[in-house]
Amino acid sequence: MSDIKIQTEDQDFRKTEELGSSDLDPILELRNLSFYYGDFKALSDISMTIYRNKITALIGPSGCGKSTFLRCFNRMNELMSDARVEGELLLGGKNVYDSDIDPVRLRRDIGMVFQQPNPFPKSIFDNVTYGPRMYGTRNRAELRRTAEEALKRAALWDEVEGRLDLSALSLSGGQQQRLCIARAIAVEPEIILMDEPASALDPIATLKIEDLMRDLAENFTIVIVTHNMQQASRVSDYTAFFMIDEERSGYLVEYGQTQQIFMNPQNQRTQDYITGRFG
Amino acid sequence: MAAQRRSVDEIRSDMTRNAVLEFAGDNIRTERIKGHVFTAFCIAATLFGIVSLAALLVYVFWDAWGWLDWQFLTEAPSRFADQAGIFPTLVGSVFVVAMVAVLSLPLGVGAAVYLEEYAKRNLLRRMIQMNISNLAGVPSIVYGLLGLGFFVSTVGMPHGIVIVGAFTLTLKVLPIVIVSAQEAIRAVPDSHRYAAMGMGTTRWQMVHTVVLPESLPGILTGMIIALANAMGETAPLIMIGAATTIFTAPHSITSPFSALPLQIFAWSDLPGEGFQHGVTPAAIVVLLVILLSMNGLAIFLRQRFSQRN
Amino acid sequence: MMDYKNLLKQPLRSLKENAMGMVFLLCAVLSVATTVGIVIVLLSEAVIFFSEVSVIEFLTHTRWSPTIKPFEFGVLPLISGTLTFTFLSALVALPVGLMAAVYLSEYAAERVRAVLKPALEVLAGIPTVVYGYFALVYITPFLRQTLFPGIRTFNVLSASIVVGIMIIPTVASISEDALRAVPRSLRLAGYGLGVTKFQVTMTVVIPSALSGIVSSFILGISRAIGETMAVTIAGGNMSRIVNWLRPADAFLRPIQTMTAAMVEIGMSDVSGDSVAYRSLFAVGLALFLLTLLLNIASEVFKSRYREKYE
Repeated sequence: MSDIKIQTEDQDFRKTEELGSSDLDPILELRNLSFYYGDFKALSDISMTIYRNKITALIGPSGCGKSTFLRCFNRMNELMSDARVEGELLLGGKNVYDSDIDPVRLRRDIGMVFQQPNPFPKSIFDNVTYGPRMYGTRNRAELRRTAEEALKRAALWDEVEGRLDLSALSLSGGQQQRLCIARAIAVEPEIILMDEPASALDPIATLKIEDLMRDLAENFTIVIVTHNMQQASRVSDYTAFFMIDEERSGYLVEYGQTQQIFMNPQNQRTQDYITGRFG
Repeated sequence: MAAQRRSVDEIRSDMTRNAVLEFAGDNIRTERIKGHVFTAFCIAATLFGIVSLAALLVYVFWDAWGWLDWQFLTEAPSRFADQAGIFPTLVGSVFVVAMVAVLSLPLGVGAAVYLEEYAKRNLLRRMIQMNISNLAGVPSIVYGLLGLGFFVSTVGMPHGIVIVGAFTLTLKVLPIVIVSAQEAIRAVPDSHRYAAMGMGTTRWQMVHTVVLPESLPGILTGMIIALANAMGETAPLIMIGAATTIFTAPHSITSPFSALPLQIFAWSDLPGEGFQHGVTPAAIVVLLVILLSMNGLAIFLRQRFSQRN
Repeated sequence: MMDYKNLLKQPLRSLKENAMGMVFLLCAVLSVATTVGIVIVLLSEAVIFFSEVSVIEFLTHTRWSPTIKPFEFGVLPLISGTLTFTFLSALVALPVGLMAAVYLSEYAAERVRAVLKPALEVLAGIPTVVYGYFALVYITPFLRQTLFPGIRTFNVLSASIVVGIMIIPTVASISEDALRAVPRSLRLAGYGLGVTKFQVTMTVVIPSALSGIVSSFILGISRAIGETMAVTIAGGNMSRIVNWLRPADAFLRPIQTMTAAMVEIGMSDVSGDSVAYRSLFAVGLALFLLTLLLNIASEVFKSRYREKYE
């Protein structure tokens, strides 16, 4: 019950915010975050702020650790290897790496969409309602409402309405990815992480996803890794540019509003990267 | 306005923190407990068989202690437990399994060579392949019926002689030999084949100078496992009329014979401590030791084989 | 100018090549011949049998007595025995095998797995005679002293337990393969939604591997049906229809399976020309067809899970 309560209150506050001047609301703050795989320092001393209801893009040459960095937000790295973190990642003022934070709970607040669409081999309905069902919701009517709303927000409802019992695997690649987005939205996270969500899709599907992101930003905060700079400049409000140093650690070169990064980068390296690929 | 916004910020960050810590009720706690219980059951399941077998092995070794001596290995069976031995049956087992080795190696490797090197990848090959996997799943007693109905009744060989036992068991273990030989042959890289044929060798030359030598360890490993299998077989031998107890060791392929598992079967019926907790466990221990050595040899070969690569 | 005579095919060498190819073909054909041989042997004797004993009697009578007068050849008691024995063995092997597979695939560290997996395979390497002996001499007394004081010396339960243990590796290894074949990305999707490992395993991994798991179950059952020596030694040789509605009666007393009945006939002094001798092949035919069907079903399920992820 408490989560429903939070949601309604949140909506009230969001409306208040819209009435006022557009303002920056920090939701996630990183302070000197470094990440280690065993002994290897993969990410070095990153500090930045993610703002609520904005789309933040992470760009940089391949292999500089952008995906690893993204996985630090929802502590998915821990599932994959010997992961260690220094510094702080603050959500609502609390470091998510503190020992009293439950990573499973954290992932209910910070959702993730992966590069390759990975719907479960179940029906569309079962995919979208997977999260709520796992959290204990059993009411069929409520689940149907959740599914419809999530699929609508993910711009997939029109294409699957009435066919929710079909296998998710019968959808096209682009549809499957939107289904994965719907699945992530259905649990109403604060933040959605997207790891190159359109790179496995054709150009038309890619554009659909980009349009979707703009709509989603009204209700969610989005952090997206992309190797496609045009995409970053089209879609994001803020951009963070990463590079790899001599010890093969990824570090943050420059972070700022997307317009500023692309039109007027402060750092020479940013300039080189952008003009090299974008000019 | 500013005051309003600040409190909005504060409250929002409070809410966010609370959301992280207490979102969606306590369903996680129950699920975690369920998870731990489930994992405990899974570990128990994994260990159940192993621990049970270990306990049974301890029992049987314990019982066999004191009964397993040189006399046991060199005497013939007897009605009296303390005079009983397994020598003739042991000879029978070794004799038959040796014959199975001699028969199954060329036949099994030949079939594997055909399937891997000569056969075109067509329907016929797939059917032969399916046939072999089906044969692997046929109960061993049915092979006994085949031996009885064909070798004994049709061909007219006498019941229960070494050669009939050997033929029957060969047919039983042939699928194992073929499949493992196929795997070993497939492991030989194609580049080696092309290197040979590129020098103008014929297919048969290439096979016997390049493929077979390289796949030999794998083939042998499979063979040993198949022979260990044959060593433990009982039902087919009963069907072809092998004796469950015999007093003289077989001396030719037309001699009647018995085998260790058959002797164990016969003795397990006999009452009395001497048999139930003495002689039979001793025979079992001998059989298990032989199987252990054979499997150990197979594993050793496999290690050496992968080390060389 | 180059002499092309060196390039011409040499008849003798070609002959040898073809001969070698033929030899290998014959070896491969032997396997086909084996199957054909089995079918012919079983069918030919069974056909003669069914000319002397009606199929109706075979399939509907409830008494099996091939060697003791009055002769009767009703196979139902044997089928009942096989079914009971297989059911109990499956009760042991299937859940235990599956849970072991889940543990090895989802939870065990690589080093633990490297030890436990071969250890499990050992279970399948012990000859069934030995298992039969274990059931008779160790398990039955143990059960009598602890859970079932009324258990008979020969009973179906002890034999089922040991054969269940023997079949665990069959179920575990095929199920484990199926579980491991489930792509990692599906698990990550589940974890990314804030779902516990237990939930992901139960609601995503196991359902996705279902075809392979079913395949392993069917194969395990097929093995239990074909099992001979353990149930012959420890199960007694009393052919009867098992009444499942009275479990104590059903499971703690001796039975006779199809396989044990075949051993009984094989060991008795029947002449090659008698009905009893031929009844052996009739039962053998039934056994062969049953296991064949199950093995084919198992393959069908196996190929379904292979298709999914390849």
